[in-house]
Amino acid sequence: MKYNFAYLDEDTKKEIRRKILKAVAIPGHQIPFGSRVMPLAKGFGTGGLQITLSILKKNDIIKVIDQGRDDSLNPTNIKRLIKKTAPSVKITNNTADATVIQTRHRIPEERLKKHQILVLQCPFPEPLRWVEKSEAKTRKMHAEMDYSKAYLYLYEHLLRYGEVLIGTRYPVMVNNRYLMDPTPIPRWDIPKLNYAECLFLFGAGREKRIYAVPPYTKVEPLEFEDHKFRTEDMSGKRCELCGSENVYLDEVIKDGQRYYVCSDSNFCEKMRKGIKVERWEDVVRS
Amino acid sequence: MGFVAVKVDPEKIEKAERLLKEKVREVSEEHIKKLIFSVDKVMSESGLYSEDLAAGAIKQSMGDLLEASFLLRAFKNTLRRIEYTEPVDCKEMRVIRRISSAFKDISGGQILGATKDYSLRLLNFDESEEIIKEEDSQISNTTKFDGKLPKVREFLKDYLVIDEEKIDKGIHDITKEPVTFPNPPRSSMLQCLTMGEEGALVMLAYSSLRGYGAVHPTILELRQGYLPLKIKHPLTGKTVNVGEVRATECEVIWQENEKLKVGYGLVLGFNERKAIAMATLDLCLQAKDDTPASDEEFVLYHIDGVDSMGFVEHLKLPHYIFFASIFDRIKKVKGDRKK
Amino acid sequence: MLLEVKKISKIFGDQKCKHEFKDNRCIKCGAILALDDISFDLDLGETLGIVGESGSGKSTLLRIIYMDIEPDKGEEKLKGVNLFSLDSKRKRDVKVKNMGMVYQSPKEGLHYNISVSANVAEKLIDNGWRNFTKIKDKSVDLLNKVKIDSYRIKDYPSTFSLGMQQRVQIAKAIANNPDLLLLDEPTASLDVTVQAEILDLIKQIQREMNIAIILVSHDLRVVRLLAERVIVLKNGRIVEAGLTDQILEDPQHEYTQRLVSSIL
Repeated sequence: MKYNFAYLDEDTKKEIRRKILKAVAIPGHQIPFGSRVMPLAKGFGTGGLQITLSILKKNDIIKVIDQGRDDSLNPTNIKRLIKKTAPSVKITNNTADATVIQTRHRIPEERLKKHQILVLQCPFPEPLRWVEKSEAKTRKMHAEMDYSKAYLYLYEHLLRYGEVLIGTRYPVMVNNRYLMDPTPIPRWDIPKLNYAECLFLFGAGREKRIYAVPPYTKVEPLEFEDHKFRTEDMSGKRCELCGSENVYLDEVIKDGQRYYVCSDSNFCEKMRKGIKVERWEDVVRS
Repeated sequence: MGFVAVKVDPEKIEKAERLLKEKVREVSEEHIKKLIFSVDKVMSESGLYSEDLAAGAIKQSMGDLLEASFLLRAFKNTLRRIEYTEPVDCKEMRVIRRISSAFKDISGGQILGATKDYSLRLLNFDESEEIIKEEDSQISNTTKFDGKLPKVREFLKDYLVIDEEKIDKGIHDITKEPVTFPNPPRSSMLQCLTMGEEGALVMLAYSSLRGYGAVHPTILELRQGYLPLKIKHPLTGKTVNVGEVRATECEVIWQENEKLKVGYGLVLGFNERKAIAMATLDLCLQAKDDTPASDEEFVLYHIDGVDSMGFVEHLKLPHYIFFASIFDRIKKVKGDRKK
Repeated sequence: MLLEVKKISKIFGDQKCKHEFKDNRCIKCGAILALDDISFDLDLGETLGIVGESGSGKSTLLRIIYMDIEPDKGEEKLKGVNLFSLDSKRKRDVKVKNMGMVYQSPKEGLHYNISVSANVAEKLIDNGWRNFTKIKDKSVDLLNKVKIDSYRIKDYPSTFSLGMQQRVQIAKAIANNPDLLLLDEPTASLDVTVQAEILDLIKQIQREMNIAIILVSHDLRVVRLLAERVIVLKNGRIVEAGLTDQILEDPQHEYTQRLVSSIL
């Protein structure tokens, strides 16, 4: 059985590319698309994968990560499909070399540049689903910019617990217009979305939605003036393998001991090898 | 220090796949084809009618029928659609079984066919029974007819209420266009129902019958048989027969005040309970009720077996960032409280 | 003039039928003529009562003014702006900034899965408030004003009596100092002593805020207490309108006469 380049047929690619263009034209707004059944199950990144396969060119260089790692099960399977159906595309673990990066639940610690595209796997495209079950109603809320229920959700937490208890999927306002779900990336990664040089594309296969944050777009987490958005607390912790501080760390419990290790495996490797890495905080973005 | 990350070797995945293939090498696809209810379930839930491919998928998935439907659907996605058939009319069906619960007797007769409905549910241990031939069974051809029967609904024409506005002007192919809410087009809705997982449809229909819902209908007609498919010939423009598929059609009726409403179910393959459930849900969705089976978003989003299976199983993927994030919040609140 | 309502009509039923009404029912399709040609004006500082029996169309009229439902004919101008011609987003903006609504049943106006403080906060957030402490303090102020204690602000509406839930609705409705306050039978489901408390509260609002109020009630005593002007609705039509005192003293229409005599 011979597959078309990058598995998808040209009609599907055409539809997805058009929807991507529409998404880029309306930052943060969810665009419905005819999501196809892929050789991976729904829930395993079919949305992100459809975007990636639609935009891959013969000379692209691709990196695929899950929780920051290149070599776990999900990225390995995705890379197998790409290798099989798009053999000319180079596969890399090096964030700086990649032209397209497909990711589940993390944005790399290394700052992404103008020529790079980050494709995020999205389980729930709708940020208002916490406060409203019905899709018909949430679409109306977005159209009317009716986001007070989202603020109320934060208000109620602050009232009862003194803290906003949202872990990941922290709602953000894109371009002063649309409330967006950034996918289950840690809050640590949220500031990276604001005025970035690269293009962010979000694909939800099961829910059949595509959305985008174009380069140099304002992305602000929802917050109250006197209770600002807070990331996870990495202070006083460093990576056991490379010694880095001020980086997102995974907590590992082994042999009764608690360790912290870099979540981003490529970053950690570069630190250990003494390779300089450009960070997102190195550039003033506003 | 002893911390080492766990890597996944692509070669190991390949070897695991080949090992599973080896375990079923001796299973014959011809034998699987005889288990027609498994084959039909997979064809219906994948939306692809091919007994050979369905049997192969069942073999490859080692009997996991939902997994087999998934394999078949993924394969369907790689095929190019050549044409849409003309709308089928089940009057054309070559019927092998047909009943009506609403009437004692109907034109053409109640044809029992080879059904398990009245059999005793005892596991067969006795292999020594005499082999019976189909000609002697007297269960096919209980009446003299050429296989085509009038629809029972014709006789209720003056009493049945159909909402003209809901009739779809075209085909909304859900493999190409996502279903939109509120009020999705009828063709989208029926496609979702017919490709839905049998258990999900049966559960929702059951909830309605039990009283947790709007309707408890009566079967107007249930027919099972071979449905001819026709397309317009690309050169001559005439309609030509391209083959036939096994199919089950069910129409149920429900009294809504002074009106009789119809619910429609049509599934690929022989699957009576799914056709009945689908017809019942069609009625539930027409009723504006606030029970789960009448909630169009609730029903249409959650009955797809391939979608639901994928998402439930995706929970097995690493979620430690998600968890660490929530844990961070809980620790903060606890820490704050201690102060 | 703050509010101008012109020739509002509403029909419930088959939109496509060319109706022929007899006794408010279409003889062809059974559609109901709920409101027919309703017009009135209202200014800041004024309270207008709308009275009638159940089925007279009073609640429907209020919902049309609050833009919960659309009329079939008619205009509504708020501060000169024609409301029905606005798109849904702008309609919503007008609603949250300029109006407050108290529904007959608190279940319609409150969210039962969040605290009473959050219920009031919603109105403030809709109006652009973004400082948590200020929102919380203002919600406490408003709830105190309607006699709900500060120590109860985190409680859910279901833990309060119906009367107190109604008071929470009122607090929410006036939270953003709207120009127009709409009350749909605010005391109907409450017992007499509690009714008195709510009426006192509304009187206090009248004294302290320069606000226009429309009060719907089947109870003329409530209207007499609070409204200087009154409109009498029967089967969707205005049968009598004017100063409350005058109408109660000397009702002209026989329907009004029946209503008045029933309270004495």
